Order: sequence, then structure tokens, then C-alpha cells
Amino acid sequence: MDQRELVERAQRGDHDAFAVLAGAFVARLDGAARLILRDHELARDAVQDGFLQAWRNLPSLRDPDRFEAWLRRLIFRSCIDTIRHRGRRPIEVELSPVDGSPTADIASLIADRDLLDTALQRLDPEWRAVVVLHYYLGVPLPEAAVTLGIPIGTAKSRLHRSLAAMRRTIDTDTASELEPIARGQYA
Amino acid sequence: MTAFDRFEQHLPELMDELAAAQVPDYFDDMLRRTAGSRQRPAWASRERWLPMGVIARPLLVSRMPWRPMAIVALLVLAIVSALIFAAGSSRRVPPPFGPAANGSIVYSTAGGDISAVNPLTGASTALISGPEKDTAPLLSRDGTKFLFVRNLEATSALMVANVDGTGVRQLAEGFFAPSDLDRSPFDWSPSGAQVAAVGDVFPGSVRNITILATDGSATRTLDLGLNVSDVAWRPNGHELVFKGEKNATYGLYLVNADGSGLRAIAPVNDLQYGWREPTLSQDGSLVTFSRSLSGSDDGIHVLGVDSGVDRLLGIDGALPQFSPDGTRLVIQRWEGGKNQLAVLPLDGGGKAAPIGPTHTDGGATPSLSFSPDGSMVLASFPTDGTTWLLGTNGGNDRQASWPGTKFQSWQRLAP
Repeated sequence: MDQRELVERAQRGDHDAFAVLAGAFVARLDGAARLILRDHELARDAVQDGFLQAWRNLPSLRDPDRFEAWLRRLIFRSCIDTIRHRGRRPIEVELSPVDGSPTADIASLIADRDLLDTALQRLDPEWRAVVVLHYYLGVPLPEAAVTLGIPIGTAKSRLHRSLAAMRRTIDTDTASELEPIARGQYA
Repeated sequence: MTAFDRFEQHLPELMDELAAAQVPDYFDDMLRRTAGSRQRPAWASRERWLPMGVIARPLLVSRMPWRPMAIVALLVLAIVSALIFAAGSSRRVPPPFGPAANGSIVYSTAGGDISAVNPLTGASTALISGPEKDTAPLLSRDGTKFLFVRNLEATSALMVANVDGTGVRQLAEGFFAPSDLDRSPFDWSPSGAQVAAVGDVFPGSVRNITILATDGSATRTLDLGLNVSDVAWRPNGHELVFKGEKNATYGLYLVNADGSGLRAIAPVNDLQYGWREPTLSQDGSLVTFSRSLSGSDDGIHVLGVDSGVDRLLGIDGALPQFSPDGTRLVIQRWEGGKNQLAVLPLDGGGKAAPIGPTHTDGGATPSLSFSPDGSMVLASFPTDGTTWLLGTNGGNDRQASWPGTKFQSWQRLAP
């Protein structure tokens, strides 16, 4: 059964079909929510709320082929609402990365991952959402703008500013690690 | 190649590492919740969800001549609307600044409509309704028009309408984002002929001020080289006050409406929370703001726009707003984990007097404003969804009948 048929069945109230659809998308969207909100509990609430809205409003979706984009928009808007209700207070906790890598240079990978974690933490959450959409979910910027309900210019500007801010963080942190700390030695 | 260049090439993989895509442990519980929830019917076919017995039931009043009655009702409504509009057009208007008489309150609803409410009776009237998502209404200083933002599918538009909801026109499209709307991103010029709006300008990477003629005849963007927010028009009509940021340096600035004469009102600093919620006094001589996390001069500040003299009031709080006559401030204070609003005189001759009930700090910022005549404070608390009208001289507090919403604008009428 293809996705369109599953959506159409779910629109007619077939919850089993909805469960199949949810299972296909929940892992990636949960990861995106954790990256944006940086809090497992908040991410769980935002994702659950998004899926609940999706189920309840599914009959109003006119084009079943747009289900994935529509679902993504519901989840991201739920994340943004969560941010706004918390008044942009910092909600920073460590993410749980996967355990090691069998092929890569583990020390280097962990260092890069930690740097990225730090750089993402310092971004405004709504800017982070654009980065997550584009780089984590691979969504083109025009589609990312639609997902977030912002003009394409704003999406481009936020991505540009986010990358600039991440560049500052990462280049600064990397440079500080290499600064001489005593008698020509490096940290 | 810098460290970041190496990063950018591998951002997708690194993000995968950071947030591994795994079916979450709450998945089954989530499905139980959705299974226990009923689907809403599609708008296009609502009737298919209604029991046939309801649809097919003969109505006792089915023989009523509905169509002629509806036409007559519409005609009456049109005549009444025209009379109201004519009366509104010919009424006296207040001076653009200073105390005025209290009119209606215009607010945006959770459903994306804009309504007006009579604060005395609580009677609401829909001004702008329909499938569009409209928000952030701001009445002109003479109370005859209002601006609002219309969120379209992938962009947003700045709209203007008459105070009765007629004459809706689009002024500009595309430079507002939802995050721009944390505070009202525009301000009316004293004459009402122009609007200063803050929005993203692309290409480029700064948030700038755009000046729009309200008759749609002209638009220009000021090239200030700063990320701008909180723009306000001075009563002289040719200067704007705003908050600006550049390279993590923050400050309050003054600029001529033609973009010339940019200058900082006071020394800029690197305090991200050093110039919070700046608000200009009605006479344009002072700007008040709160400062936090500065280490030394946290609290409510009052800054002379021309003199640059910064006065720390020595009181902890946030969200300061001037009274219409410029003699008092309403602020929010934190006491014992609760928010408490208070009014304090600006001459330093008295203490902050608490007004209204305390509210739990839910993380969402309330919106505060004085009534045009200064006798009340309109306070809206998004945390519990309530709106209050609070007497500024003690007592007469009451919870309003309309819901708490961030954007409420009180109409000024001629005294």
C-alpha cells in the first residue's frame, strides 16, 4: 500500500493506517524536535501534540501527497509554540548522541559533535529550526519557509545568520583550543 | 579552510550523530492518545459527519421566507454600517500625543480574527474575520484606522483598515516573520500619513526600518547597518527612536525619518538584556526600559532622548510603560515567585503601588498599557489567558470578558 492510499484511509478514520504513517516519520521528527528544543520532555510534548493535531485534522488535508510536508509543519509549529510559551528562556540540556562510531575517528568525531552541540545551543531556537529543517531533514529553503510560516527572505536570512554565528562559535572555540597556554605548549 | 568550512560540509552527518533518529519510547503511548481522539470533519464535507436524521429532519420554520428576510437584513445592516462610518468619519479626533478619552479596544483573537470590544460593556464586534490569520492590530493615534499583520501561506502582509473594519488594504508584503511580532513591529507617524515598520530586508542580513505611506504611494527602507527593533516615532514627526544591534553591541538610537543623522542616545554596550522593552514617552522626551544581567545597574531606567541622561529608578522590574501624561510608569515586578504589577511616580516622590492580583510566572510576557485617559491599566496575561482592567488609583479592578491576547490596542478619542 503506498503512502497516498494510507493517507486517504487515515482520512477516513482508519487509525491503523495512521499508525503506519506515524511510524514512518516519527523518528526523524522526534530528532528534529530534540535538536530545536534541546529538551527531551519538551520535544516529546511537541511531537505528541503535533501528531495529535495531525490525526484530528487529517480529514481537512486536501492533497494526500502533501502529507509529509503538512505533518512536518504541524510538528515544527508545535515546537515554535513551545518556545514562545516558555518566553525564550534557555532550555539547554545535553542531547544523547549515538554510541560511538565503528568507522570514524572516534575522538575527532566526538570533538566535532561537541563543537556542533555548542554552536547550536547558542543559536536562537527559531533560527535553529531553519538549520534543522535544511541540514537535518534536508528540506529546501523555500519549503522550510513554508513549514515555518515565514517569508523565503526571512528563511534565507536566518540560515545565513545562523551559519555566521556557528562559524564564529566554532572558529573561536577551535582557536582557543590551540592557543598557547604555557611556554609554547598547546591545549 | 577554517574549522567551520570543514564542519559545514559534514553538518548533516554530525546532526545525525547528535540526534539519532530512533522511534521514541513514547510512540505507543502517543498512538493510544490519537486513537482516543476524534477526528474533526473536513470543512468541505462537514455534512457527511452529521447523522442523516438531523439533516433530513423537516424544520418547523422551513416555510419562512428566508431569502427576502436575509436581503432586507443585509440592506439594514449596510445602512447602519454606512451611518456608523459617516458618524465615525466626521467625529472630532484627539491630538496625536498625550491624554485622550477612552474608546474601544481592538484585539486579535486566537482564531486569527480582529475584534473590537467596548471596555465598559464587554460587547465585542468582529472587525476582520475570515479564513486569513490576522494579528497584531495597532490603532492610529487619531483612532480612525488600524494596522495589522496578515499571515499568508508562505509570507505575511502589512494591512491597514478603517476602525470599523472597512477599507482593508495591503500596504506591503513579505518582510514580517512570526518572531518579529513578539512586540508590535510598527508605529504610526504623528499625522497618520506614514508607518515605520521593522522587518527583514533581503538580500542582506539585517532587520531594518521601512517607512511606508499609508495611502500606498511610497515606500523606502532606511539603510542603517543595524539590526533594528522597537521603533517609535517622536511627536516632531521627523525622528525615530529604536533599539539597534551590531556585532553583539546594543543600544538605543535616534535617526531622522529620511535615514540621516543616526546617533546613539547613550553609550552602547554589549549587554544583550541591557535595553529591554524600550518605550517612548508621549512627549518624546524620555525613553524607559529595563536592564537585567548587567551586574551593576539592573532595574528600570529612564533615559533623556536629547540629553542622554540615564536615570536608574532603583526598582527591580520589567515592562515599563509611561502613562499618557508622562508622570507615572506601570511596571511588572517579581515577588515571591509571582508577578505583581505596580504603578510608580516618575518624580521619585513615592513608592511603587501594587495594582491588581498577582499572577504566576508562566514564562510568557504579559502586555501592559495605560488607558488613553490614564485611569486604568490594560493587562493581558498569556499564561492564564486573562485580560484585566486595573484602576491606577487603587480599586476598580475587574477581569475583562475578552481573552488575554498579546496584541491589544486602545482607541484614543477626543476628550
